[in-house]
Amino acid sequence: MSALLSVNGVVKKYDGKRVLSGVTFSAGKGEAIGVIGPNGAGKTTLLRIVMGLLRADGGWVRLDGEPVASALARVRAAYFAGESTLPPAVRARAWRSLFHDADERGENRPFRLLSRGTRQLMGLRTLFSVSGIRLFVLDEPWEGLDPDASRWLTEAMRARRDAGVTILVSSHRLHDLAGVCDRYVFLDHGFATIVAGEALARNGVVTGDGLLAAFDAVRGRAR
Amino acid sequence: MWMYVAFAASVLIGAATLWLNPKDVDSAFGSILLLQMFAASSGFAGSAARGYFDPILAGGRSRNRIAMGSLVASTLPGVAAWLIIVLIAAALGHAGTALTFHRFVALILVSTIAWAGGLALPRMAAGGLWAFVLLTAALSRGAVADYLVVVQSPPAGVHDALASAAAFAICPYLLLGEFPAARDPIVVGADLCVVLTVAWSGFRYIGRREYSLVEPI
Repeated sequence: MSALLSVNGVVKKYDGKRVLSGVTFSAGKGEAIGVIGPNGAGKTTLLRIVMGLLRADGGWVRLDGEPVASALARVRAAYFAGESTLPPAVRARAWRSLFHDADERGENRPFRLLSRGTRQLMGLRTLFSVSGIRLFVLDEPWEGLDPDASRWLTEAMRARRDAGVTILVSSHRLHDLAGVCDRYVFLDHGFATIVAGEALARNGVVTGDGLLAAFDAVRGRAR
Repeated sequence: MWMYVAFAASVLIGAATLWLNPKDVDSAFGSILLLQMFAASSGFAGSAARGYFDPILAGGRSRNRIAMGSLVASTLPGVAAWLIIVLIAAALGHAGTALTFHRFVALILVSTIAWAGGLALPRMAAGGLWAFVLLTAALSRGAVADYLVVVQSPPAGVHDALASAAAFAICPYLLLGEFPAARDPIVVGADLCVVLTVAWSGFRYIGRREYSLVEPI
């Protein structure tokens, strides 16, 4: 499987403190990678470096063999960091027009008037309705979604993955991640451990509990 | 939204002023310049740190295009209001006064300085700071008088020209008058250099900045 996304030795420091210490992994076409770690582990930082929004202090990220900054103009990638990143004063239709041609249907109230779950779902549905995306980078996408919306998101991610789209997703909701991802990046104190889903599967199924146990083992907290 | 309303009100008042006194184009321009100081200071870093620009910043567009979009979006209402006043003045037979180049330089000075100066600040903060500096200078009459002496006569040399250009850059409202220095090509050229330098620094700021997320307030 050729790598669409290659992350090699990525180091990131904030105020001299290392948040990421040589993170290395790759993701092939049609592969879903889950990023797991406690708050402050650097998950969002890693995802934003992958999308070219932050610069790594060391190492590199390549998209389809090219540095991210230039590759993003060619390789269509979608990034969503959650409903809090939707501008409150902007109307939903105006925001959707960033991704689509004019669409006169659907919700058009300003985001501030919508519920948290509705904003989250709207942000995700908009990204998932864009055609030609080769890489999805999603930061805590299940946050705020009701069960129906969560199920839709999981199925949408599986469908894209099976269609050859690469997915990089971070979440604390391990049972949801377990239903989508092929491999996992465990982030702890800036260091990454890559674990294949098959290694965690019992009877062919990866569960949230299994993921948590594996993460505990990586952190030396085996129960 | 209320900024659009303010510009619309300013245009209406400007139109009424021109109707009563077609030569008084500068009072109409003056109120638009004041609003533009605040409108163009649209901020960038705060909104970017909340992720509001993520779809644009992560969409593969060049950062220079994004900076240009920010500049245009921030300054367009003021420029449009200005052009409406020009059209009204032209309709009343005073196009020559409204279309003088030094008045237009006042608009682009205010637009670019307020935009670039406001990129790292909260929305409208650069406009507020600038207005505060001008008000303070106006209240300390000595300093303003010194400036007025500089711009009231044609520059005798390069030093005078640069001093006049600096005065116009700090207080672009002086360009709305008929001060002799405002028509000097060296002075206007120096002010255009200021515009280009400030705009370049704004483009560079957006291009080189890192976009960490902070929790929304």
